[in-house]
Amino acid sequence: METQSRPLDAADALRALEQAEAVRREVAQRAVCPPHWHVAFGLLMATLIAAQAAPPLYAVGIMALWAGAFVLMLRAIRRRLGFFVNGWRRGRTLRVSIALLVYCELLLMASLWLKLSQHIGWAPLAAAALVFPGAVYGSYVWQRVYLAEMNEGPRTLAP
Amino acid sequence: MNANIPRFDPVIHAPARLQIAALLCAVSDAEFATVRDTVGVSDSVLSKHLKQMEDAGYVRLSKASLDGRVRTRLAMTKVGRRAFAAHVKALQALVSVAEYAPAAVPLVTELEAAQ
Repeated sequence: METQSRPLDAADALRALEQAEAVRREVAQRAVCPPHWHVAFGLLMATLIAAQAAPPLYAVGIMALWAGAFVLMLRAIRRRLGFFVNGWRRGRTLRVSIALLVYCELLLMASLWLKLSQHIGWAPLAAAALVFPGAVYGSYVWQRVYLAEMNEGPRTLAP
Repeated sequence: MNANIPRFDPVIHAPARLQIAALLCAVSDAEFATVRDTVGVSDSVLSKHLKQMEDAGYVRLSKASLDGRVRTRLAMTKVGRRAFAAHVKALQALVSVAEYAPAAVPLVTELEAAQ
C-alpha cells in the first residue's frame, strides 16, 4: 500500500474531493434513463395492481409473467448502465420511494376492499389506471432527485 | 467506525481508490468494466486496487452471468461506505480549515502519523 510522500494539505484535499465529485457527475450522466424505462416501470406497477382483478389462477399466471418482466427489466438496466442503483438506497431518493410505495399500497388496499367487500370487480383495474401515471411520475421524480444528489457539491459526497 | 467522525483512511486515500469508492458509493453495484472505464485504469491496476479494498473489507466482489458471459460485479460494503464517508468528511474539514485559516499547519494522514 502506497503512502503519502508529504503531508496532506488543503490543496490535495480539494483535488481529491474534485476527483470524487467528477466520478459522481459521470455516474449522473450515465444514469439518465430513456422515457420508455419510466413507462415500463409504471406498467409493471400497474400490472401488479390490475392482476388482483383476475380470477386467482389467472392472477398467478400474470404474477409469473410479471416476475419475468421484472427480471428482464433489471437485466436491461444493468446492460445499458453497467451498474445498478437500488430504489431503496439511502439518501433523499428514499423519501420518493416511500411516497410511491404508500401511494401504490393505499390504492391496492382500497381496490381490494372494494372488490372483496363491495363486490366491485373492476376496482383493481381502476386502481391500476391511477397507479400507472403515479408510478411513471414517481420514477421521473426519483431520477431527478438522484441526479441532483450526484451533481451536488462535496457536502453530499458522504452517503 | 463512525461515518460522522472525520477520519483519513489510508486505503481510500490513493486517488484511484478514492474514485473507485466514490463510484461504488453512488450505486448499489457496478460491473468491473464500468469501474475500469470510469476511473481510467487498466484491468491489472484496477484488480490491484480492488484487492487492497477487498482485504480491508471495503469492497465485495461477485460473479454473475449476463448475456451468457460471466461478469464481475463490485459493491461497496457497509464498512467501506462508512470509511468513505469519514474520509470525505476529513477532506472537507481540511478544506474548510484552509478557507478560514490559509496558514494552517498541514495535516498528516493517520498512516504517516503511525510511522
